[in-house]
Amino acid sequence: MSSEHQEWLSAASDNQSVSAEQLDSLLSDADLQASWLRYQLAGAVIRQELAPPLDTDFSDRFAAMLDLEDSHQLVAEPVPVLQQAMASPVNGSQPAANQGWWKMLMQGAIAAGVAIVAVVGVQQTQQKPDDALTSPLPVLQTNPIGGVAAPVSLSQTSVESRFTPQQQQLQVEQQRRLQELMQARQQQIRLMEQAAAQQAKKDATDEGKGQQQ
Amino acid sequence: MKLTLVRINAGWLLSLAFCLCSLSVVADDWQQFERTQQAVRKFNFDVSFVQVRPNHLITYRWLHGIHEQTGTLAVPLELERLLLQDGVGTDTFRRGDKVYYAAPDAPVIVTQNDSIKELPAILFEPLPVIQQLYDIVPGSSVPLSGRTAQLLRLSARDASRYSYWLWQDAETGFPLRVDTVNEQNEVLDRWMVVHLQLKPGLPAELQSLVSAQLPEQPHALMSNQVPQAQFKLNWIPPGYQLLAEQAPVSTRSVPVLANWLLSDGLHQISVFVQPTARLPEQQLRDGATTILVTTRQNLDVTVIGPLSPELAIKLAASVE
Repeated sequence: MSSEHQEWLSAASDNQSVSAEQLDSLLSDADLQASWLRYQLAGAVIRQELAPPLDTDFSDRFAAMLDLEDSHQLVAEPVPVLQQAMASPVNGSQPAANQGWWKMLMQGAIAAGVAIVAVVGVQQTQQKPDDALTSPLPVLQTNPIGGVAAPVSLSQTSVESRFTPQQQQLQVEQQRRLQELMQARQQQIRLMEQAAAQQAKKDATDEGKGQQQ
Repeated sequence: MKLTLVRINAGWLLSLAFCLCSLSVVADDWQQFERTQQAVRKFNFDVSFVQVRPNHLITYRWLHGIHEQTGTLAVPLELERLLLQDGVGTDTFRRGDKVYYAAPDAPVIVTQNDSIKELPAILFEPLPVIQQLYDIVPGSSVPLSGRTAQLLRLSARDASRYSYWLWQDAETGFPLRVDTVNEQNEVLDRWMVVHLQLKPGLPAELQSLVSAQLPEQPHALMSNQVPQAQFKLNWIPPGYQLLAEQAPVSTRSVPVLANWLLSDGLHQISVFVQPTARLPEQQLRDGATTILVTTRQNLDVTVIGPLSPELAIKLAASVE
């Protein structure tokens, strides 16, 4: 009986599943709980999960160290300050300034300062229109397209797996076309001024020809 | 009760002060903005910046310097370089009014431009063009990287155009951050300096560019393609103009039947017409750029530009 118990308990401590009855018996039986603890400990030792055990004389050494500590130091410190303050009556009002209405006022000022900072902070964050950069726009599907001087590479990230291979092929085709048009546009813009200059030159020569005739 | 009264008074005083100041201050604000435009042209600097978009962050290094040429009537020569901080990509140089794009495994492309188009246009385009499209409103100053940054809001006069929030270094006027925001003040695209080093002279890295042998002739342009006549654009977003002469467009997979480039002096919108690929209509976004693909009969119309999806749809529908 007991060996049977030990078997499932051992399995359970190795993360095997337990039935509801077994769990109930474990919860009600103190002996089973003790062996459960032993299994866990044994498992931890085998897996080398245990922290190095404490020495038996640990508490003795700790007590010895406590004795070595000068425990009266903290209490002794404020005494000379008080004596000094009492010895010089001219400075007697100084400690009082730290405690009365002054202190309350200072606390209030600090609180007000924090409130102002908080209000300013909130306003600042509200002004920042950064949302659109981090979240895609509702109308348009976001899609990375090659940057200005970057090599224009085909992006297939938007092609989702729910499409059939044929549809995917079409989408890739569409992407390629768009990349080409983006490049064509870039070329157009680069050559725009030159085209305008050429046009102006052509107009000038046409005009010259007209005048000659 | 007392508190509300005080607040109303303060608010009233503030608005009064604002009204009095605003008349004389607007000109000053544009002067402040001009400081930024001057800073990126006149300073010698070594800067790193990030381009932040949803799902997308790229870091660049940007060098700029002025080379004082010898000779009696010599004008200072502007040298500039833009390169990826991480990875391999196009290395962009500018010497005076020529921009060179050196991509790996490709010949160097030369274009005629007095600024690198991949940098925020707002920093380089002429002030009158910007003043026509935007009102300037100064904001509060905030610390950025331990420096004091003054916010200048360039709010679009036309609601369909995106606005810019520019933070400039209070001391030097150098741009530290440029946010492109929509009407709801949501940030669509952020350009932010993460490292700024102003130099007393031309950065050493640009020294070799002074005398480097680079192709002289810019990329030659063909005149307008013939098939364009088949199609026309019946509507153009407010403030934009159709550019008469355009660079030819070449694509590898699907031919482009017609294309247009619209510009308001600061932004560009591209429209492409292609034979259809029988795909569903698509709306995509890359930072502040909207990409719209519409399908109609046997044509695909693609609109790419910094405009709202509604306007993009309207523009695509106007192709005939």
